[in-house]
Amino acid sequence: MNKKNNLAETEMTEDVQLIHEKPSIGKILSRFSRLGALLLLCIGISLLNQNFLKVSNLINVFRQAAPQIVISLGMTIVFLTGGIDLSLGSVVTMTSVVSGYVLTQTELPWWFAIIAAIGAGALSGFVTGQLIAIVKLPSAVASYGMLWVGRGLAFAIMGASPFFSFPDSFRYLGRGYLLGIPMPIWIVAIIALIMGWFLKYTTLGRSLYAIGANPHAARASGIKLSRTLVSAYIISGMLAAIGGIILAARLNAVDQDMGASFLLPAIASPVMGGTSMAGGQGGVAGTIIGSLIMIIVTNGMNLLGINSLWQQLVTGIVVVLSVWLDVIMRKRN
Amino acid sequence: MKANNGKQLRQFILEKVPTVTWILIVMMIYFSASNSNFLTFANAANLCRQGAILLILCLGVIVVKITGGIELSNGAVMSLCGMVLAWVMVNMNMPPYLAIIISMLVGILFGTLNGIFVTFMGIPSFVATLGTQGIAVGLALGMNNGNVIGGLPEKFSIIGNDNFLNIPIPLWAIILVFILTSVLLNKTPFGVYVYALGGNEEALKLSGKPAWLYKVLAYSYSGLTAGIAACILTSRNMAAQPTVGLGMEFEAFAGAVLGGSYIAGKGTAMGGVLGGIFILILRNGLNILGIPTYLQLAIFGTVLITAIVLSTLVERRVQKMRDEEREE
Repeated sequence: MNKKNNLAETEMTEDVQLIHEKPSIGKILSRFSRLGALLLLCIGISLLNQNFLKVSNLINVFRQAAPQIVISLGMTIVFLTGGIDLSLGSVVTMTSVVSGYVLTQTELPWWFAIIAAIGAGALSGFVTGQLIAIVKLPSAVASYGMLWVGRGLAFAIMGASPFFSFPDSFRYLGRGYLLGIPMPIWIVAIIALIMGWFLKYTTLGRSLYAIGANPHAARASGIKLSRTLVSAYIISGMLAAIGGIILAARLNAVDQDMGASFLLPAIASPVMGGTSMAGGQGGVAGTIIGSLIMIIVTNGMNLLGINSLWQQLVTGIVVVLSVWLDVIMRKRN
Repeated sequence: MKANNGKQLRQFILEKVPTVTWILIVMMIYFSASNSNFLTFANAANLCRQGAILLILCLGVIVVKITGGIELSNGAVMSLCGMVLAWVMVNMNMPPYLAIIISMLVGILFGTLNGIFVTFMGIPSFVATLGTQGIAVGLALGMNNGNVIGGLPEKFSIIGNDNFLNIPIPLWAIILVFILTSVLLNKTPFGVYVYALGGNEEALKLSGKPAWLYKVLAYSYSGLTAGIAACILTSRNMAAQPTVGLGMEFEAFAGAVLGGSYIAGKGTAMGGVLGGIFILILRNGLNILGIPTYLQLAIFGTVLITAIVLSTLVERRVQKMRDEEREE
């Protein structure tokens, strides 16, 4: 066991070197191009509407972005392994319904709702991972099936009546402030730090990159493929659950459609942030920038008075274009 | 040459008959044993009318599936086609037959869009079709401010509700699309290339044939079926609702996967229809057993994923048997 770990580590350090070697000008440019795009977008919108740069609006933007950033980080983990998790949106729904159930239908304390929701997310990820790793279904097929299982479970738990009006201590997670900064932003910052550390400095984190970049080489170097894959889906399920908790706490209610609209942005955000859908490439910072771009586009549309009914159209186009860009960049490399 | 008969029979059962047939038979016995209303003519006729939309979509999805793609946009494209159909009839006073043609054209347009995303832009099919789903939903919602379009001409209700030669017109539509799909898959070069795309796309490309063209056409065909289904749906409801088709893509996807397998290069028109019937009977059976709607979706999802896993395992067993035979 120990020996295998060592093997994996040596391979990983080589991998790390490969990734960090020679930060060519093109790479630096492409890294900062995303930040540049974000800034340009902000400047453009603030020129068209002065309300955009108001502190209250910016805080609002960040608060809106919080669940989406967390969910997109979950998708990032799965993208790194070369898979996709189409069930994340419905895991958000399912886990927030679980927390709503615990909060309103039982006498359990509010923190138990959080544990239950994260547990449900982990379980869902575990099943998806097993279907992919053991049954060997393509990740899109397995997770698409789980999308509907999760949605069905949300319906089943909720029954006929939605859950609403949660205790204040739970709502604090979505609406409260700590040191003048909204709680969701704190949560995102903590998760981003943990994920950044996890992906960079732990064996499991490096293994995720390795199996995405070259599964055969990863297996040869002693990485347990199926175990690593399953943990990727478990982590992404847990992150989706945290996103669901923030959302439920902010809205003070859960309904059976609340997570569905997160799927497309969760695909687009990592890709816009430089995480390749083919696996093995990407990271936390890019995904956060990608999510902010997505949110600011929607927020900008609201400020410019575009009917929110058109938003899905824009999201669809952004998804297609960003994935296309990823394909082109990969071909060039 | 002649191996033992038992093995041949087993191979025939596993390979030639879609797995879903057996599950279908078991399910029908169970539902008819637990409720006498299930095996009645009225229920069967009702099933046909309700099911036409799903079966037609399944027939389109199976073509995309054979090429190795996943089609997740047809529910939304169907809603959009319905909205356009109703829009041109109500706001432009277009005669129904022209409106139907336009609906099919919109379907083909969005199918082709999928095909272009997948072939020229190199986007994985499930992302491309999810993107198209977003585009279609956005357009369907935006074009009439999210409202339903009603007040369609009386004549238009014929398609969804009347009979021709004592057979409901939706059933005619299923039969026509089924024949069209089988002929396309079995008797035309298009079919040959569709199977080849799923079997070995690289080989097809190397042979110098325009592989991309047939791939785009496969997606266009799926779009066409969405356009046809939209006509029946809109005529049945006599109104077009912008989100009516959402969720349909899952049922069509599941039907197509169950009728063949998720594996590329495999599947038949018959398999698509059988898979669609499986979904219909499951839904209908759950209704007849009186299971509340909010529980149905959970059961539905679980049964489907179990069925996909089972048919995958069977598929792998067949593959193994075939390999063993080749070695012999």
